[in-house]
Amino acid sequence: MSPQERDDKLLQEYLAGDSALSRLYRDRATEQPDARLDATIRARAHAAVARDARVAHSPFAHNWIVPTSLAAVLVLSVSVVVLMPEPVEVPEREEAGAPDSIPDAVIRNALPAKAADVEQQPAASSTAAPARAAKRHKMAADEGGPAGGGRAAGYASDTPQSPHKDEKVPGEERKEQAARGQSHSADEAQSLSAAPAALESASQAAAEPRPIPTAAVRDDPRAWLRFIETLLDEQNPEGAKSNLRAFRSQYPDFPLPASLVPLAAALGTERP
Amino acid sequence: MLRYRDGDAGAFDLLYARHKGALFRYCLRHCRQRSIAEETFQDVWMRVIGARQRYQARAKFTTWLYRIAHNRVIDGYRSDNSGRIQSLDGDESEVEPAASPLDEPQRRMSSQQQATRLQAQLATLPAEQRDVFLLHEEAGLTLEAIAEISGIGRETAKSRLRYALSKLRAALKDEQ
Repeated sequence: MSPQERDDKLLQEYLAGDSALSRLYRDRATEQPDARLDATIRARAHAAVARDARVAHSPFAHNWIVPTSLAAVLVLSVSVVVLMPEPVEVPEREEAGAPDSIPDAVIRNALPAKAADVEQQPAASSTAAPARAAKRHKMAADEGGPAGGGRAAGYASDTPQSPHKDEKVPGEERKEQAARGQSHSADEAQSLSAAPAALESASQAAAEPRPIPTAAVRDDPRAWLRFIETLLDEQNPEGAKSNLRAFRSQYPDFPLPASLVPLAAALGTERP
Repeated sequence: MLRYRDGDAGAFDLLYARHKGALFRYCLRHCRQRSIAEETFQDVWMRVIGARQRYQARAKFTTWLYRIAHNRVIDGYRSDNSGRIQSLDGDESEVEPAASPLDEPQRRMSSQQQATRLQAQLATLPAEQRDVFLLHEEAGLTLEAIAEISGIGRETAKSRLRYALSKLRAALKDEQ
């Protein structure tokens, strides 16, 4: 038997587990780790399991991480959207002569008279008509109604359709004035039915910086002066100045009320 | 190990009691110093504990455990610059047994003395031959498992084991 064959035979016996060399080794292989080391390792192993259990029972365990995160993101997104202020829309001026989208601010500047004040002042009916027309237009716009050219075209006729039944139409006002025995001329009747025209002038005002009264108002110097006073009351001094300047050019000698004298003096339109 | 992975701490105690002696001796034979062996032994078990949730029963637990231990011992060899432990890497050269007190005039040794001599001779083996011998003696692993753990072929493992046995027998025979 060669040395190689003998080694292989001994190797097979050794791997079979019953060799003298193995028995000799195992007789002395009795070393064990310290009890302290045993306790340390077992304690670490138990602590790791306990830590796993705590994590598993935690409300923020891994099973809840994804849904909790999604819910938080959703709530945050909705909150941001709800609390975000709406962007302020700046009304664009339409071209002159296009009555479809007359800005409310322009109408208020052009027709500053308050409806309640006008109702209490029968003599001021000439200025109240444009105010009512503007108010009517604004209410129609607020109610989502057609505030465009169709409604404006309706006002342009002599029989405008009011969206509110309790509001007096120009025809009714005319009957009341006749019952009060007041003498109204054809010009006054025209001024009473001047709401469509006032709206038309308002649409022109959309393209012009100064409010311009209707032709009926301009023909009545008293009504025009009240219009100017109303502009002052509405904190529109620029409109009042331009109207007063135009008034003076048309009526150079007509006496002014005391409320407009300072404004006229400031403009330098009064003769010494 | 699967029970321990699933939260049964008592299963670890059983596992530890079953493997602690053999694993400790595996570390001790490689490191030679008890303090270093204890450090290595504890580190191996810490790695077992840390990897419990990734454990998959694809192989015997013993094979997995001793692969960790084998890698830890190699790390120890690589990081140790003091010469306290021998390198396990690559050196296949034949190392002659170092001189020992047993080189004194021959006398017939008792069984206990032979065992002591065997351990002394084992310490003189090249690390890779010692490793193969210990993996078989302490862990009871087959040549295939030893080859898998060591990252070598079966024949290489067999060759290393043959060399180791031949040297150990020769040393014991010389002393008798």
